[in-house]
Amino acid sequence: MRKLFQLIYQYRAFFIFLLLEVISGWMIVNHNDYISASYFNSSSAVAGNVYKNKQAVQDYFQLAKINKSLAKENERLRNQVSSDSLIVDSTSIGIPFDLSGQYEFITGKVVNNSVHRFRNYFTLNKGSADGVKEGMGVINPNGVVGKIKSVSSNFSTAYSALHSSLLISVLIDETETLCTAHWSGEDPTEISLEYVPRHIKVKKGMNVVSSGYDSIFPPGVKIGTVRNVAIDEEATFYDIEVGLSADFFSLDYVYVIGNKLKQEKDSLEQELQTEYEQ
Amino acid sequence: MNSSNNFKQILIWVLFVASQILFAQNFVLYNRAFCFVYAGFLLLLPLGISRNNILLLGFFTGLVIDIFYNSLGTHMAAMTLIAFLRPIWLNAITPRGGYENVDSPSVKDLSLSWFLAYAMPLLFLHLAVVFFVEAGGFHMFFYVISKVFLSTLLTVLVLVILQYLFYSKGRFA
Repeated sequence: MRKLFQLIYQYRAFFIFLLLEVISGWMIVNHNDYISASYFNSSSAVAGNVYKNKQAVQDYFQLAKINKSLAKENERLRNQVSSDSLIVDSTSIGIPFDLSGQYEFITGKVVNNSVHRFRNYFTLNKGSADGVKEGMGVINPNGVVGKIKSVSSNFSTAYSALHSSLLISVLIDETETLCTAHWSGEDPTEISLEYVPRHIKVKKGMNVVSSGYDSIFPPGVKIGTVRNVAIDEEATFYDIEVGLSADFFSLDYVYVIGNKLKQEKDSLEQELQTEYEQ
Repeated sequence: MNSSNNFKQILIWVLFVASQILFAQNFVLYNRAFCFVYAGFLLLLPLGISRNNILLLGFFTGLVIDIFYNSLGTHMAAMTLIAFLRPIWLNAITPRGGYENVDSPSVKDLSLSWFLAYAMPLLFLHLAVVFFVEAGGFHMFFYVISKVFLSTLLTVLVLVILQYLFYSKGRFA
């Protein structure tokens, strides 16, 4: 027994090394779960504040650009208001009008963002104190941006749509085909569409919008337009690349979307599923 | 180590980590070459430090970086690995004349070519762990390995420039 302790003591550096590697390995595995504490990511108070101050400095260099995009959105909203009094045309606006009561929007600002990794995240300056909850969708005026991962009282961290394990339920607008959008990990301006069966006629330039079935995003929020279509002779599904409409290199103001009826929808579907399984 | 020396190391740690989070994080060339300059802190630690301490330091530094990168565990694993390998590697490439009168394994105390031989393999391993864990496996192997290779070159380049700027003789010693 004493020899064993001697051995451990002699090679203590190696055992410490093993212990620390096991801890980090355990953290890597657990961190990829959807539920994780918000202390150890950029929504924690310290990291959030550092990023907020960093962004405050960077903002001065981007004021003109942000101004321009806000003015553009203002114009769009103004047009919407004036056209709404005449006809409600759900195709001309980002979010279908008849559903607007179901969703609530929280304006947030991106204070940290990455696009070059395989798993990209961004940090927002709004947290649980402002009503942000885990699992909410994030969009900007151009399209879908991501999904909230974890929340602290004043900050939140979100999966970017450029995250290799985030799947978004989408429709090809023209053909109403339900499929899944998933980032392949290489080009930050493109996302791939999966499970588009070969009998569908997909063409370049078709619009891809969120389906709303996952009750994270409202139906009809734009994702992008089809950029490349290819299919192998024996493949069941197309390989489709979609050019993202949101510019992930310059995210500034975004909207976090809360779905007031999510719980009701989920519990109804849960009921159906358990019934089906029996 | 006396206390003024400790204080100096803490200051250097803060500078390395802050520059990683505030500047180097946004420094990406051609979507391939990333700059992980904070690993230089571990590489440039004095030779006198004990193996246990360097492991704990590497682990802790990785944790702080992970919190800011939202990649809990990844940088911790990579930093712990090179913290473990550093003493072994230092032993293996002992320069002629040994480490007498050598304070830390830097360009200042040894030579540029020695530093490159010392730093590049360790950084390569560090970045390989980081990128392969991030990619979640070995699919896209060549894409990832090209990232690792180019990032190693960029990081070493930045580290050498930093040393010529700040670690020059007589300024810190």
